[in-house]
Amino acid sequence: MLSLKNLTKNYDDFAAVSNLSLEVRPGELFGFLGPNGAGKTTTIKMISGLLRPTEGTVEIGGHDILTDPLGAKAVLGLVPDSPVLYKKLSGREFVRFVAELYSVDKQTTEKRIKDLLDLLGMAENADDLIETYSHGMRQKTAIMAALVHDPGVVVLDEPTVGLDPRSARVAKDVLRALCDRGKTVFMSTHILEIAERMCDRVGIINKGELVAVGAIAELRAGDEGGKTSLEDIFLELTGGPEQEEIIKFLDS
Amino acid sequence: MSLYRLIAYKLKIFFSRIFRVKERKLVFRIASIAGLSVLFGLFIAGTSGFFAALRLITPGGELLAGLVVAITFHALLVLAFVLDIATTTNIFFLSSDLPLLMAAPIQTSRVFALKYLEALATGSLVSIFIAIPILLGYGIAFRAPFYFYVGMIVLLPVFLSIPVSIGTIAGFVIARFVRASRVKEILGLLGGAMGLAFWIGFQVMRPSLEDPGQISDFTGRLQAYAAGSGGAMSLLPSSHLASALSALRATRPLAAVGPVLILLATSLVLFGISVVTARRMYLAGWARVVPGGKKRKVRRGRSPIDAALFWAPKAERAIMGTTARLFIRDPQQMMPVATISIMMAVFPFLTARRHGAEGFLSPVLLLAVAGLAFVGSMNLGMNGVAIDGSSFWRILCAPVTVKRKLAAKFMLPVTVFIPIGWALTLVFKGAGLVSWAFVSYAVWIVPGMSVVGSSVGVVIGMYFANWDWDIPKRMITVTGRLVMAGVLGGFFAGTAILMGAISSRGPESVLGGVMSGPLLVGAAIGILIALLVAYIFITLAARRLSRMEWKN
Repeated sequence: MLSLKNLTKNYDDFAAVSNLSLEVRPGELFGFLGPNGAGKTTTIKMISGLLRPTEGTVEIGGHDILTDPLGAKAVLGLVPDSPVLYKKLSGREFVRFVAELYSVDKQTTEKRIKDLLDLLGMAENADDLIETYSHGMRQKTAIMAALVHDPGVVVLDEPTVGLDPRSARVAKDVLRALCDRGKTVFMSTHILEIAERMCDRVGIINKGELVAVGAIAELRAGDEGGKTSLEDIFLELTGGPEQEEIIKFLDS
Repeated sequence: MSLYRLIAYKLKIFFSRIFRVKERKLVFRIASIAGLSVLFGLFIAGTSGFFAALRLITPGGELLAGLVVAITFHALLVLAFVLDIATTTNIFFLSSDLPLLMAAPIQTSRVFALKYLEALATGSLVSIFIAIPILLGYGIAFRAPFYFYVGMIVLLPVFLSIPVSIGTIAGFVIARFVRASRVKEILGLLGGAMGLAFWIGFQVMRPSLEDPGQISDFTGRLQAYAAGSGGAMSLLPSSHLASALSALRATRPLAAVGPVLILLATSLVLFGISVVTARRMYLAGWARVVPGGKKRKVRRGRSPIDAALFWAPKAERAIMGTTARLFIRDPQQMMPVATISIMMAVFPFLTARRHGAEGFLSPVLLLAVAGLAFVGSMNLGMNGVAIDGSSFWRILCAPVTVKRKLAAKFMLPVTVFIPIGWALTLVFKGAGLVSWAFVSYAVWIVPGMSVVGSSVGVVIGMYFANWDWDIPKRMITVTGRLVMAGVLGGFFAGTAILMGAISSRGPESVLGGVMSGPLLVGAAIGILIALLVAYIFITLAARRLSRMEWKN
C-alpha cells in the first residue's frame, strides 16, 4: 500500500535521505525510528508530496505521488510533526474544511466529526478557536483531520508528542484499530517503547540511510551482540553516546 | 545583562536574518539594498527639486512648502495610529523571545526598555523612510542650517514615540482584562478608529484652499489656509513637529523652542505614564497578564459565509470560506481594508461638501471605484495567499489541482470587491454625485479592475509570501512589498494620465453615449482583456505553486 523506492533528497552537497527503499503492507503498523536530524521528517514530507524527491519514487495505494499526485493525496492522511493549524478556525471548522478538500459528502462529514470528537475527547472544545487550544488539543485536531476522509494510508510524524497519557493511549488504540481494518499506518516516533509495543515492523534511519528494517523479533535475532531491547539495538545502530562520555561531561 | 548587550543581540539577529542566507539570495538582497539606496537618493533629489520649484514661487512658495511638510506629518500620524499601535502588543506580549527573556536573570525594566525600543523601531520604519527624504529635500532646497538636520534626527523619534506610548498604555490596561491575542485585536480596532477619526477630523476642520468668493489671489488663499490651520489641528503633535522644523529651517531657532518643548513634554509624559502602567501590570510580573480569558465560541453549524459561496464547487468553497474566516476573525487584517474602504466611501461626500457635485467629481469618483476594485482586490488576493502562513501545508496536501487552489484564492477578492464597487457606485448615484453615464462605465470597469487586481495579487502572494509570518505586516517579503508598490505606482500613474485626458475633454463628453453600441463592444473587449491578463497571471502563479517545496 505504501512503497518507497530509492528515495533520495539532496540539499546541495548534503544528502538528507539517500536511497531509501521500503514497503509497508495493508494492515501493517510501521514504526520509523531515528535520531534527531536523521531524515525522518524529510522522508514523511516526500511521502506526502510536500517535498520533491531528488531521485526515487513514492507510491501510495498504487498512485505515484509525482505522476498522479491527486490520486495519491486522496488516499493519504497526514499528521505532521508540529500541528500548525489555522488559529482563527474552530477545531470543528478545521476538520470540516479538510473534509471538503477531500470531497467528503456533508452527511458523512458531520457523522465522522462527531465520532472523532467523542473518541478523542474533544467534543467540549470543538467550537473554540484553535488559538485557544493546548499543544495536545492541536495534535488531536490534526489527527481528526487526517482521519476524517477515511484514508487508506495514514502517515504520522511523532503523533504522541504533547498528548496526555489517556489521549496517547486512545491515539495508539485508534492506530491499531485502523490497521485491524486493513489500513496502512506509517508512524515516526522517538519513543522506542511505543514502537516496541505497537509496531508490526520498524525501520531505523540514521544520517539519511535506512540501517535496519524488520519486526522487533527479527532485529533482536539478527543482533550479534545479543541485545535484548530495541533501545540497545537503536543505540548500537545510530551510535548513541557512551556512558563514560556522559559521566565525563557531568563531572566537567 | 545590560540593555546595551540586549540591543546588540537584537541587532545581530536582525542582520543575520538579512545577510546569513544562501549565496544566491545574499546577492539578490545586496542588489535590492543597492537598488533601494538609489531609489532613496532619487526620492531625495525629487523632493529637493519639488521644494526648489516651490521656493521660486514668490510670494507664497515658502508657506506652501511648510504646508506640504505639515500635511506629511499629519498623514504619518494617521498612518502610525492605523498600522502601528497593534504592533506594540505583538512586541510586548506575543514575541517569541519574551518567555526566554522573562525567565532569564535580567531586570524586567531592561526587558521593558528593550521592548519599547523594539516597538519604536518596528513601528517607525515606514514613517522614517517617508519622512527623511521629504525633510532632506526640504532642507536642501531651502538651504537649511545644520541644526535643522540635528533637529530632524532628534525630533522624529520623539514624535513617533507618541503613538507607541499610547499603544503601550492601552495595551497594558487592556491586557489586564483580556488575553494578549485579544488585546492585539482590540488595539487594531482602536488604532484604525483613531486613524479614521483623525482623517475625517482633518478633512472637516482643514480650511479650504479654494474659496474664490472670499479671496482671489493664491498667496492670500495660502495665508488664509495657514491661519485656518491654527484651530484644533494646531494641537496635534504633527503640527508642533512641522512648526519646530520650519522654524529651524528658517534659521529662527528661538521660534522652535516652544513647539520642541511641547513635543518633548508630550512624549515624556506619555512615556512616563507607559512606564507607570507597565510597572503596575508588566514589571510586577508578566504572569499577572491574563493568559486565557474567556474562550471565544464560534457558530457550530453552517455559517452565512458558506451560504454566500453556494455557487462554488466544494474544494473552492472550502478554501474561499476558510480564507474569508481568517480575514474576518482577525481585526488586524480587516482594519486596514475597512479603513481604506470607509475613506474612499466618505471622501466624495466630504469633497462634494466643499466643491459641489458638478463636473470635478465624476473622474475623481471613477478613480475611486476603479481604484478600490483594483487595490482592494490586489491586496486581498496577495494577503489571501499569504494568510494561510505556516498552515498552508494543509492546502498543499489536498487532492485538488493547483489551478483550482489558485482559482479559489483568485475568486475571493473578486466576489468581495465587485459588489462593493457596484454598491458604492449606486450610493454615489443615489446621492446625486454622478450621472447614469458614470454608472454605465462603472458597471464594467469595476469587474475588469477587480479581476486584474486579484490575479496580480495572487501572483505576488505566490512568489513573495512569507509563510512563517508572525504579525500581518510581515506576511509578504520586503521584495514583494516593493513589487506591490511598483504595481500601485504604475496603476496610479496610468490612471492619473487617463483622468487628465478625461478632464481635458470634459468628463461628460468622454463618459457620454450611455449604453450605446460602441460602449457595449468596448466593455466586452475590456472584460476579455482583463480575463486574459488574469489567465496569464494565474498561470504564472500555478507554475510557482506546482514547483513549490514545503520546508517549513
